[in-house]
Amino acid sequence: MIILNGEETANMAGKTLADLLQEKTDMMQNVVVELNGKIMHREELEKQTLSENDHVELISFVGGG
Amino acid sequence: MTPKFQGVAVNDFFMGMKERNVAGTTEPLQNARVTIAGAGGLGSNIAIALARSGVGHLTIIDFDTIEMSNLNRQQYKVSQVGMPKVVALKQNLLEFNPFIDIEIHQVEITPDNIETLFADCDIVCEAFDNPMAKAMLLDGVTNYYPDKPLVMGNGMAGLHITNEMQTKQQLSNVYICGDGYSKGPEGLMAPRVMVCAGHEANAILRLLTEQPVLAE
Repeated sequence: MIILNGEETANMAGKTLADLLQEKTDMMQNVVVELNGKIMHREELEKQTLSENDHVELISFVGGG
Repeated sequence: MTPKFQGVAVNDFFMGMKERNVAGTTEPLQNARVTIAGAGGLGSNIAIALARSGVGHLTIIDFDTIEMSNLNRQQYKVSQVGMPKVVALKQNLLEFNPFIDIEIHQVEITPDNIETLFADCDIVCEAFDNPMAKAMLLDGVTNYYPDKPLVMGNGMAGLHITNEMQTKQQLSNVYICGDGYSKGPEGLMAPRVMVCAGHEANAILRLLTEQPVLAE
């Protein structure tokens, strides 16, 4: 179990952040991933595997300015 | 000789500013350096707020030129349509505060130039329209300058109630302003864009005057 945007989410430990993004968003380019309080840069997403109790925030941006 | 602009001396100008600015803010703001990424609805309004407040060094970056469709919310004039936004904004800002230093770059911000463009500033202000560019800047700035405060805008479209817009702390030095949901295609109008710009500008002023952004 991991904590995703404040909610307990099952069956994610062991997967990569890239897998998580694929599963949870269809606008990957608009999203930045924060893992345990640290921004994960694009090139790290494929390599970084999720562990039990990880806190993940998907910071999603919308257009307009 | 005292520098003058349209007959106004710098000292008189700053005396006038001090009369109404919050006490003790004029000096720290005069030495501050803020770089604004984007000179559209957010960037033009944020820049005006910071210039009027007396932020001494502003750098504004935008690749675009002014179109008619910008005039509903961006701080440009009909007479400036076709001009590069950074050139027009500098012109306008110097009429509000002729005694600040304004650097402009008409370039597109990419992962390759983030390190150079944001090297000198105290605070990075994100004011893009494009969500991919917002994500790219957050990624790049936290990569090269993890200790530099970054203030961002996210969600200010439509005519939703303005009370839904907030300043939130995302990371120890990343602040995101806006409602977080309203998207550009539903239309962008001056008031909500200005509210979001106000959130960003106020967060920047609080940081520059060493006040916690989110606690009184």
